[in-house]
Amino acid sequence: MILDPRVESAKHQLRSVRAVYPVMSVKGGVGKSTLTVMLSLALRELGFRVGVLDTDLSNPSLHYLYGLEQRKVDVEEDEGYVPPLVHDGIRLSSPVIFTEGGILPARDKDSVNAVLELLAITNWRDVDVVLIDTPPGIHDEQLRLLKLMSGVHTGISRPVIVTTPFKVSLANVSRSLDYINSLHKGEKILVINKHRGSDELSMQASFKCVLRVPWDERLDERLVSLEELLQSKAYAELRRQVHSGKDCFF
Amino acid sequence: MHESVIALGIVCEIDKHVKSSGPPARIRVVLGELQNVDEVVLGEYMKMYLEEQGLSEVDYVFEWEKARFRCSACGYEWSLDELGLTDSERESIHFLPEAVYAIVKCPKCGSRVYDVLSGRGVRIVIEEKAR
Repeated sequence: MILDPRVESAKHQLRSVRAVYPVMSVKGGVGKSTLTVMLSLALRELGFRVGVLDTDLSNPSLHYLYGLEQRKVDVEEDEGYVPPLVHDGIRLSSPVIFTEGGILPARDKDSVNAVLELLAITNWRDVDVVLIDTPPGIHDEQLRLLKLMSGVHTGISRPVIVTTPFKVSLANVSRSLDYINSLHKGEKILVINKHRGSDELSMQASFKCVLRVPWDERLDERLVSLEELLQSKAYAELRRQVHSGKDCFF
Repeated sequence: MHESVIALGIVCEIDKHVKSSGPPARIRVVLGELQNVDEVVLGEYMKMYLEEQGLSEVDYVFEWEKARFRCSACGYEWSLDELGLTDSERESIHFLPEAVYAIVKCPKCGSRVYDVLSGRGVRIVIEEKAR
C-alpha cells in the first residue's frame, strides 16, 4: 500500500481556517482573477484575515494584481512556508514564488501534484479564510481540487462560480453544475461579472446566493494598483453586496 | 522547517493505518531525490511525532529514489547529476518539485516538455504482515 503524506499535511495547514472558497469559471476571460482579488479585499474589509492561493500554474496572474512581481520574496520557513503579505491582512501563496516569476508548464498529474504540494507546504497561520483561484474550465484539476478540499478541510468549503451575464456563459454554468455537484454537495456562490441591465437567471435556486458585479469600463485602468482597484465602481458594488450579505459566505 | 510538516503528514498516515489495520510488517519512507528533504531533520521530527502519538515502537526505514526524467520531444533520459542546479533552484524545487519544469530544460534538445519518471517526492510504502 502506498500512502501520500501531503493530504494530512494539507489538513494540518488548513486546521484553523474557517472557510475555503475555490473560485472557478467554466470559461476563461470572465474576470475570475480580478474578482478573486476584489473578494479578498472585501472580506478583509469585513475584518477577516485572508489567504489567497493561485493554482493557475500555466498562467498565474495574482502576483501582478497584488504588486508582488515588483519585489523579491524571501521565503519564510515555518512548518512549510508562510506566504508573504501582499496587502494589510492578505497573504498570497503562488507558484511564482518558486519559479522566479515564470510559468509552470506542468501537465495532467503534475498539475494535481503541484496544487496538492502547495496546499501541503503553505502555512496559513493567522488566516481566517482562503480563496483559491483556479485555472479556467471544469477539468480534472478543478474537479480533483473540489474532491480534495472535502477531504482536507472541515470548515466551510464553498465554490464561487464566476460567469459573465451572456446567455452562452450562463448556459455553460448550468451544464457544468452536474459535474460540480457530483464532487461538491454543499452550497455554492454564483458571481455574474460584467453585469449590465437585468438577467433571466433560471438556476438561482442552485446557489446559496448570486452576486452581480457591474460592468466597469474603467476597471482595466484601475488594475495598476490595489489602491486604484479599491476606487473602482465594480469593487464598490461587490463590496456592498458582500458586506450586506455576509451569510452568503458564512 | 518544511521537513516538520512532511514528518507530520507521514506520522498521521502511519497512525491512521495502525489504528485501522494494526502494525504493518514494514514501513518504507521513500524520499525522492528531486524534493531533496533533509533525512536527518525529517527523522528527528518523525521521532518526535511518533512519540507524541504513542507510536514509538513503530519501525521504518528511509529509502532514497533517484530522480529520472524523459524528454517527450526527443526521448532523451537524464538524471539530476547532469544538471548544474544552483542552491536557489534546488531550494525552490525542494518546496515545489514541479518548479523543475520552470527551471530545467531537456539537456539534449532544450524542450520543457518532459516527464519526471521517478524520484519526485515523499511517499510511504506499507508492507502488510503475511496472513
